[in-house]
Amino acid sequence: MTEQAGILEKAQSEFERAMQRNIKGLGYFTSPAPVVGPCVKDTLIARGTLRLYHYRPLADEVYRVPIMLVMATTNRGYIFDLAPGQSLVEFLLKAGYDVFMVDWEAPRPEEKNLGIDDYVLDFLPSCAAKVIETTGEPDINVVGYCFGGVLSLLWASLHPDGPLKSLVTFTTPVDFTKMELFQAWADKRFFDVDRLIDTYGNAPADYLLTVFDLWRPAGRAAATFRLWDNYWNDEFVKGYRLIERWSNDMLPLAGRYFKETTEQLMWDNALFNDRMEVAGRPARLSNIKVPYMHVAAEHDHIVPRPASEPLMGMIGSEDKTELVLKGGHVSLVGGANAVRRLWPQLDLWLQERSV
Amino acid sequence: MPETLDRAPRAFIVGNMTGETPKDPFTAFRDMVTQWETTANEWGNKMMSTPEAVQAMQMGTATTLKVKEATADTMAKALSAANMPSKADVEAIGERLLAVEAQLARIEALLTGRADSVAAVPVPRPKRTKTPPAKAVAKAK
Repeated sequence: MTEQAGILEKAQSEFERAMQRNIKGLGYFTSPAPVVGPCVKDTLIARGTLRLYHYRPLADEVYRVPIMLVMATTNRGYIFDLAPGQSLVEFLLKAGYDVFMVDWEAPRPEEKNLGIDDYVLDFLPSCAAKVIETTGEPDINVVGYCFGGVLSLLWASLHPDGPLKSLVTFTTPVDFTKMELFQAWADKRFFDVDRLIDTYGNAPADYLLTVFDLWRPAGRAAATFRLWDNYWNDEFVKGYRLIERWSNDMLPLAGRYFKETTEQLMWDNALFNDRMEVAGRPARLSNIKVPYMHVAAEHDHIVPRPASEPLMGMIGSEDKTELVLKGGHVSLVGGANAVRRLWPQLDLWLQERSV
Repeated sequence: MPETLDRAPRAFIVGNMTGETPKDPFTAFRDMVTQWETTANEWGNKMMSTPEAVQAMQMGTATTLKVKEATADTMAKALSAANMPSKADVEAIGERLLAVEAQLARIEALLTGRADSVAAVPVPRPKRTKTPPAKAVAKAK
């Protein structure tokens, strides 16, 4: 009898959920896309693809050293500022940091000739100089995500005399041979990067999105099922829409930049092999002497653990730390789990290096 | 049917036969979807890592590029015949506009003393004197 009652109760619950799915499912398709980036910010630089934002403080007293977040060039920076309560930026502001972010817009067709040198020797130094001018402080802490981390490493290695005070990178590859799926896709024998760039100018965003999707062929179908299954759960739907919006909002990559990253990093593995050059200047990770922290994700399918593992040995700093946290490439930095796992650890590490 | 695909329903049935508390069919179906996703992703990754699959994919890309090149070429000729600017012409104008924008930004910076800034409201400037909580410092040491 008890078992029968349990089954009936379960069936009733599923029926109610099914009703909710129908009602809320209709709402899903008729409601606008979720609003992202709730923290108030000022645009300090808007030059072509480059944006530098300064977030309005949320504390009466802040740490002396400002933080400059450097977003990956493939995606938009609002992964750091998804929604109230799900925003790394908001968390840092409330914890008393002065936060800036280097973000990217889609490069225009006429920006196809931008290369790694433009990002490392022009964009990042310009942003750092602007942060210094704005704050009046002589040094900054930098936090780079994914390829934003690679750019930060290159910039730091070429500017050993400052103004960097400490450096944090999230899910940042250094041994590109260990990004096996990308290696397979960019196989030198079959991939004609010159032709792609000659034809399109910039590497198209939908092309890049397809490449990312290839590594999880069942991902979209399974995610759609889970969304349908959870239509009754407002929190789930909200989180899903935020992450879904972000992951589909990919950016094209400037043509020469895409070609250089393919040739120098994917094919030559130049950063790992100490052969990396930016505008003819050797970029050696051993030149980085500032305090350094790298955070890797256990289940990262984009930058697998072995791709970032050699970083600790290659960086020249004496004060260096590595954290390996549960989560994937995106859930490490944004979403409900990041609030509990990464952000408090980041705050703890930055506190004493921000005075 | 691959083993992973039928694992969940079988667990439900076996649960009934052995007298164990059965998994409800909805949970079993959710588990099945998760297992299918894992298996399909693993299989897809294996397949996509083979030289044959990569070659086929890149051949597809190359064909698309050839078609696009041919279309662009034909369009450029047609536009030229109609005395209209081609995409390359528009891009060239775009590049010149970019240079003009950069020049304007420099002039604006000279005039206002605030390069590239579009901030309309004064930014609050809190004191930069915050120190780490004592506990964090002790732990770091």
